[in-house]
Amino acid sequence: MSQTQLQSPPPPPEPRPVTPSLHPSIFPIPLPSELILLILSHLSQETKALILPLVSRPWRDLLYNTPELWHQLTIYNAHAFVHHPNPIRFSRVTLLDARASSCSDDDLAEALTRRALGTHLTDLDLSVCRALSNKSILLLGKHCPRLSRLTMEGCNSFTDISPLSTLPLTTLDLAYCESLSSSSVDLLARSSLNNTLTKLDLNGCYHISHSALTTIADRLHTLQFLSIDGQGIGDRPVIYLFSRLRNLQTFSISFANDLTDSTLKHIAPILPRSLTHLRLRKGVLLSSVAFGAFFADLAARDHSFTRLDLSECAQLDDVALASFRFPMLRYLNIEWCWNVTDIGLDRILFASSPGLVALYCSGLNDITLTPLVASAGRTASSGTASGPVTTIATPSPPAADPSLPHLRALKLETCRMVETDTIRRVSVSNPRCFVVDYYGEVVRGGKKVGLLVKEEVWTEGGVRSVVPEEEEVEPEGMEEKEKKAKEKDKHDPFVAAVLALVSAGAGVAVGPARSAGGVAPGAGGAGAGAEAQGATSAYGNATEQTLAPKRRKQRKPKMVVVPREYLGRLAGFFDNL
Amino acid sequence: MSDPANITLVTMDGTTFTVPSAYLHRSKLVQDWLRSEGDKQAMEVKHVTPFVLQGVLNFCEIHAEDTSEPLADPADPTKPFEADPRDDAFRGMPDDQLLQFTMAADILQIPELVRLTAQEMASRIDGKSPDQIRAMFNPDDLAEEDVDSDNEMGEVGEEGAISK
Repeated sequence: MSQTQLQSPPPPPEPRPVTPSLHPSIFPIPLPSELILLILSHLSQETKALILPLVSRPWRDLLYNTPELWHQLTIYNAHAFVHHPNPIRFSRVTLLDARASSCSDDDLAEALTRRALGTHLTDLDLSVCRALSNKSILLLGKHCPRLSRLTMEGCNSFTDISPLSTLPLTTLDLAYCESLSSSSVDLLARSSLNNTLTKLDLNGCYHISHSALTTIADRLHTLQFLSIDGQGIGDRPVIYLFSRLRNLQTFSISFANDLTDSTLKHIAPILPRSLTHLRLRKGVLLSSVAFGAFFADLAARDHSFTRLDLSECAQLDDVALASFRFPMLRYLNIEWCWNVTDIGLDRILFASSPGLVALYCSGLNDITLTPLVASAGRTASSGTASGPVTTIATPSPPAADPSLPHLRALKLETCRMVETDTIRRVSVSNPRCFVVDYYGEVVRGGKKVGLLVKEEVWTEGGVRSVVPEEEEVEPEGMEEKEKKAKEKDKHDPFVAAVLALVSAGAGVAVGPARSAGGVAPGAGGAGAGAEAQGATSAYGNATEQTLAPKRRKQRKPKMVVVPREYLGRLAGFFDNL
Repeated sequence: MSDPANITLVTMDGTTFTVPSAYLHRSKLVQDWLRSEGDKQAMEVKHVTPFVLQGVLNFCEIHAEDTSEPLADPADPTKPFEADPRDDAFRGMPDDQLLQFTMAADILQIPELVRLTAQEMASRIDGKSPDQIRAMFNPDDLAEEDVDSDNEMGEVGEEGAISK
């Protein structure tokens, strides 16, 4: 010890050698290239692809020749992408969002075989690329050894998914892949995927049979998310699913019309505790009595959902709701459950789930909300009326009390008995709540702020500033989002809802890798729309220079699209801003 | 080797700073130095000016009590970046100063500060036009470099295919 000290005065460790900057003229002070790359890696794709290359030659050379900067990519034109003259640049892509990029079998073959783009790929979104056939699935299975998340919503041309069984998939989204054969799902479930797969979305895949579901139940024990179409699916396989998949957190069935009371009776005692999100849509045979017993059973077991969707379960009524007790519930969809009245809503909102953030009750013909608003007002004022101050104060209108203070989204489309004044009072007393009225207009703080169109809500002025005063909905925004809207045609709101809640904190579209996070849903969506338009024109012979100014103008879309199902979640964002 | 209570750092021009060693628990450079053998009188931090080192130490002081798990890699995409109001000092700073802090944080190997400053720099670039970016960084040198060149025209023509 002392010897070493004597030998030589130990020099303090040298700072890491500062590698000479490769690109001295990029930043005002020379930086090591890894720092330059780090800074640039935080930039949006738009800035990297369209703005920075125009700044100067060194910037452009750096950006065009550094594959590390292009780990995550959103493309809008698959053909142009795979024939890009400088493919090296994209050789390290790990996350590729090619949603609605018109990707064909040939494009994918070019990308995966000739350009070897699959080597590093972990996340891939090929949704709504309807031309993709079985050939493409084979290619994916062969050339994407690291693929863990695959989204192919609405690709309805392929039938055989089993070639993917060799991949380390954790998430497989095949919603609305309508041609998908039951036997190939069966094969897939029998493969080694049973160790990795946590999310499987088969919503809209109506060929899936009893036997495939049984195999899923027997094999895919790691599943946390399962969504099925349900057409032709009876009680037995559904009960069996619940008895076997003990890690399930989300279960969804879009067409529960073949399920009978037996399902409710048998799943109530075996529902895994982890299952907090249940969707039984169109359970038309499920009786009020069975629902009542189901709710009571679960309440007795202290099972609580956070999200529950019983839309179009026509027999659900106030009597059944009398045993409704889910204190943790945040999202409830009882649209088109005609028999529910104000009494049922009162039970839900005050006795069972006061923490409800989103309540969707479109089509409830008998509800008026009037007693609810009144009773909420009464409760609040009786709480605060304990001082002598209130005796002096002039009697304030009930609207001054926050009724339903936690609510952020309340959907009342075609609820003909709800007065405009009631809506106004709810939205004024709880200015953070979005209320959708009879006509699909979105009201907040007493003013109309947007319009519900198909699956999306249009609001003015962007996520950061929903200004109640501004009412006009500009038609040009519609064009910008046309593509998005089209692609969403078949996009089940449930998927979005689940994305919103299950992968909370992730970006809208793909996954945690898309760190845009929080504010992204609106802003990102709108930007993407504008760029989608830019992309088509850019694919002509135009040069970057002529395009750039144009595109810059387009980059400020006035409209921001809020997907319908994000309403509840977005409300949280608005408040945190 | 037991941890000393204080650490003395010497900048490029000989200015010394003595701070509680707890401040620097996130600096890999300092931790490595503490683990190494030999005299622990003062640690030289080359290439860092006193002003910048003072700023870095302020940052370290503010975050000395943080219990969050140390960041291994400033580029780790799985750790989402969250702005911290305590770091607002870095928001109003001129660009070149900010870059000097990035450098210093890199030299001292404090991943949290590297990420913070890199992210702040990126947010200043994002959303600006090429002209604005040129004005931000080196207006004299870059003006004539305006890109209207030939060699990658084919590529830029198709650039719209990947844009966001």
